[in-house]
Amino acid sequence: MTKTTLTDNDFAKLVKQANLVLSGDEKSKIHAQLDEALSAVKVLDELDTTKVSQTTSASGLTNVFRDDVVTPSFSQAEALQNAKMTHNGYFIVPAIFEAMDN
Amino acid sequence: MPKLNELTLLDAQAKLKAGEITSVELTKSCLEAIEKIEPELHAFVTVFRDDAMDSAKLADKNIQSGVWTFDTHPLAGIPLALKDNFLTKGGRTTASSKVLDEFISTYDATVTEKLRLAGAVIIGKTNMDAWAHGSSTETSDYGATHNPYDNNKLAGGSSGGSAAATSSDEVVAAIGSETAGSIRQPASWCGVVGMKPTYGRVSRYGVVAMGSSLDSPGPMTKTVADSALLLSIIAGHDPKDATSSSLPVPNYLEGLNKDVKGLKIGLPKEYFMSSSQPGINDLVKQAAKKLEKLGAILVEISLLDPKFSIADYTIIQRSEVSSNLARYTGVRYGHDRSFFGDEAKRRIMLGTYALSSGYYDAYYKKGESVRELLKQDFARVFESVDLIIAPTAPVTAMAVGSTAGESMFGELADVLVEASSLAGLTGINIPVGLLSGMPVGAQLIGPHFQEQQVLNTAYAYEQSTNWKENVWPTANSQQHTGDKI
Repeated sequence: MTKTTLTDNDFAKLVKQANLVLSGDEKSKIHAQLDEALSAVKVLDELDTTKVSQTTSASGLTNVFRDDVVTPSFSQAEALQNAKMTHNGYFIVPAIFEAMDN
Repeated sequence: MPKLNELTLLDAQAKLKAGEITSVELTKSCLEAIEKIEPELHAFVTVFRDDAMDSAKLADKNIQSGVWTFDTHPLAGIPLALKDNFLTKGGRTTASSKVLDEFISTYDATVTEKLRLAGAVIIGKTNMDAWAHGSSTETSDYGATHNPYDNNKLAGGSSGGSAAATSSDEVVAAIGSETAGSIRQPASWCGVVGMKPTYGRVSRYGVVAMGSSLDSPGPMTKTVADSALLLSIIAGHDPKDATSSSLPVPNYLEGLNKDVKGLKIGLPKEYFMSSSQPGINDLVKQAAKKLEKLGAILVEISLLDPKFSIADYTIIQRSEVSSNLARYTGVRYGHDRSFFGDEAKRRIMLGTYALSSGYYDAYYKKGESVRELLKQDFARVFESVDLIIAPTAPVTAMAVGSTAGESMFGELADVLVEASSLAGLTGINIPVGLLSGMPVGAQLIGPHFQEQQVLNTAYAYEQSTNWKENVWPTANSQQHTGDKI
């Protein structure tokens, strides 16, 4: 079985995509485990799936529709009750734009 | 006479109905057992002592005044535990992760709501692998749940807390959830009945999401009849979960019968692995022979090698995990992503890779095609047999600490349950004996929505054998008490 290995660069990109921050130790440990897992799942290549469709629902459901009816939902206070930072009834979220120097 | 906490669900119901006991007495008995056993067992993350007593008092009042009958409220006054991934309005729900350490549920999961409407007393929330990632409870940020049969061994997982709490009589019954093995495997390790319904039979609304195309809530009980009663209550279509089935829910308890004459039961040769712990295959074959004596017809069958389901499950589950855990940013609720444990980080990384541009076809798409092959494999087999019987787990409960450094531990522990989960089938674990003092379970797997047949066959086995003696031999009978450990 061919071993799958991610370059350090690809791994770093993946950490960013996954929105995680990993310590140095975590990086080396998880990187090795990821390579190992990706190699292990290659066992599926033994199965020919060229003429097989993909599962969309385990129990066979298709196209589930319902009427678009407005029903009661949370109050603003309930929706905010678990938030660490709120302001005037809103969530405070991290800034996504960087401030300009000037 | 057993202590009240040792009663089965149906016995507790009968005694409450007859006015022989009150919900307050029953609930107190469970809380006392919890108080006594928890330091060693650690089956709970949170116990709702005050709320449970308030609910018990309310139940007694409503039962005594006739406002509630056992027709309108079949669970009136009965203390149950929920796995800590079911939202319980006003109560803490952590999914055993520090990310949600301080999270208070804003609403009830549909399963919680149905239990409350049936009159149940929610006594607390049970320990699990963090985010249900694992088969041991060792990934729980609150420590592992130990096995009621041997304190040095694990309860299994991810619903290990619910299995251990039921097995040790801390509660009358509990609710777990299974993505692939998380009900059946801990039920097997702790010697209880664990029912995994067909995907979509029970609503996922308000259950902390793990693998959304797989997650199936289900009962963990002391008997098959208890399982039938609980399943009838929690099953059904839910407008809040579009993947829930609109098929009518039978009264599984009323439908329970032990006639298995002419029932064809397949024994998949690939599931009786030579690498399994010696003795397990024999005990499961003995259980199959018992069913044969009752009139069932045993047929040797062949299924795809379980090694494929391990790889397939790894891809599909990690992909869904990476998507589901993306929402935990610490903004709307919970702590930020630095609070994720190793296992969650590992799974998020693999899932992100499998779904990423350039690799999606080779991993996720391939995984969903293999899943279709697994579904077709079972459909083919169910043309010639009604049910499948196999060992639930290849080993009995392993020692505390076994999972350290074993990143694929869960997949290996769940090798015999993953394919049926990927195919969305229903299955049940039933205790079939002890090996070196530890419980062994057999699983019965049925086609989609054939829960009644699965329950009936499990019931036939349970009723035909002195199964409590089988699981709890006389020599160890002192184990099956409130002070098991």
